[in-house]
Amino acid sequence: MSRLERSLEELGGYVAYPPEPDLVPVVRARLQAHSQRHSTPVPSRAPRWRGVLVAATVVLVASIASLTALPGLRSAVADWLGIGGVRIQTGGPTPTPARGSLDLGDPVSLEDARALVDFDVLVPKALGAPDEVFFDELVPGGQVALVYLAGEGLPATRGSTAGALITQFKGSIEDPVLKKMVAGEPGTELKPVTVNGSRGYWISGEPHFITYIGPDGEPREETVRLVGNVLLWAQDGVTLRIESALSRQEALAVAESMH
Amino acid sequence: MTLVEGRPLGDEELVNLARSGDTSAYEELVQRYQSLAHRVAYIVTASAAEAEDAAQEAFVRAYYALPRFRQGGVFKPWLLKIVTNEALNRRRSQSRRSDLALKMERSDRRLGDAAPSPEASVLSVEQRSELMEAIGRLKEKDRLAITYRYFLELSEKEMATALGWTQGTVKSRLSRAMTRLRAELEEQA
Repeated sequence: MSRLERSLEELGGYVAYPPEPDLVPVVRARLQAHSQRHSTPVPSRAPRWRGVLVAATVVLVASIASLTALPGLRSAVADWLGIGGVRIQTGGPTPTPARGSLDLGDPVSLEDARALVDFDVLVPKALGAPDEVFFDELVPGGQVALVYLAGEGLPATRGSTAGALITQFKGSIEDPVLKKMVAGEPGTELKPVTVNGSRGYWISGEPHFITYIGPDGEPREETVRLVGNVLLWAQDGVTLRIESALSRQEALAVAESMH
Repeated sequence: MTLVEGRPLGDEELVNLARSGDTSAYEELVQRYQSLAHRVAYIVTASAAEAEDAAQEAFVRAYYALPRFRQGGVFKPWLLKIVTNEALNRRRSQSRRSDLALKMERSDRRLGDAAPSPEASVLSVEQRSELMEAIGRLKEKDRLAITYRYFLELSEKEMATALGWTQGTVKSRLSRAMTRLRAELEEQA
């Protein structure tokens, strides 16, 4: 062990931690209060979203109730569970457009991104080299995001100067890495599609509200962001997502040009 | 405390009971890990108030995430990941200017020591604050790597789960963070 390592271990003993609160009573109270309000548990959210949550729960329940009334849609909804590392639920409120950063991780070169993950990072021929590449190691196995700025033939997405965002991460059916809440008014359309021979989904219409859930089931709401239309599919154990303002046919063409 | 033949239940048994709706089993887990969760949250946020809120929120979230807890998984790092994310969320919404250097005991008395033990102490008070300030200047991920390893004494495997990194990333980031910390210290000197 180096001298610095020993010093760090020693330093750790000098951290003046604040007095430890007893969390048992307050956690117990919150769980009890929650179970009185809800017949089924839903994840708690950070305080700033709490107001939204109540509305979301109501809309969510209503949406699922109406969806499950239709056999075709019901199976489509059940099928969400079967795509790569993604779970989708329909319903929820339309979020207020936020113009915050996309929080995609660290900016890296495409070469570095390829070295950081153990899957093949695909780039669409149709769009060429990305303007920016990000690597997010907080997504288990790492997530690579390719950003294309809006320009000719690539309209800007709502609330952003980006024209297209392509994210890729390793995901398997047993191990859902991502849950996606499609929060929209009835204007959100979900359509099963085939992409490069794999099953995928086209999500369009109202802005979507995204919540990531780790393979351990832990929600990551810090990455909530607004997107345009989404084409989502899995191939070779990798979940891919194209977010853009492109039409379905255009997005499919981009997906098919990925190599 | 929940006992079976005088033996406290293990995490796995408590998790299984909690999953089936036994909230007292979950309270036992809160009791068991609240101190660690609070320390983790403080290490991330460097704020007593944020640390308390983050730890509390994490325990509530973890309860509702229990149905998705992988059978045979280890509870501690799983919980610490939820705490870490919650604390990071709060940290990121804090003012960028807020000080990240953790507060230190002023005396020579170390946490858990009955009495000062000068022979065990390598660092002077000045060296300790220099080192702490240098850590506070590191980028977030470097800081997390170092503090999780050396302050919280988590294994690389536990860090991988808690931070959502692969074990390879933990190793490489730790080594890079140490290099940057050395550079910070040299610059300071």
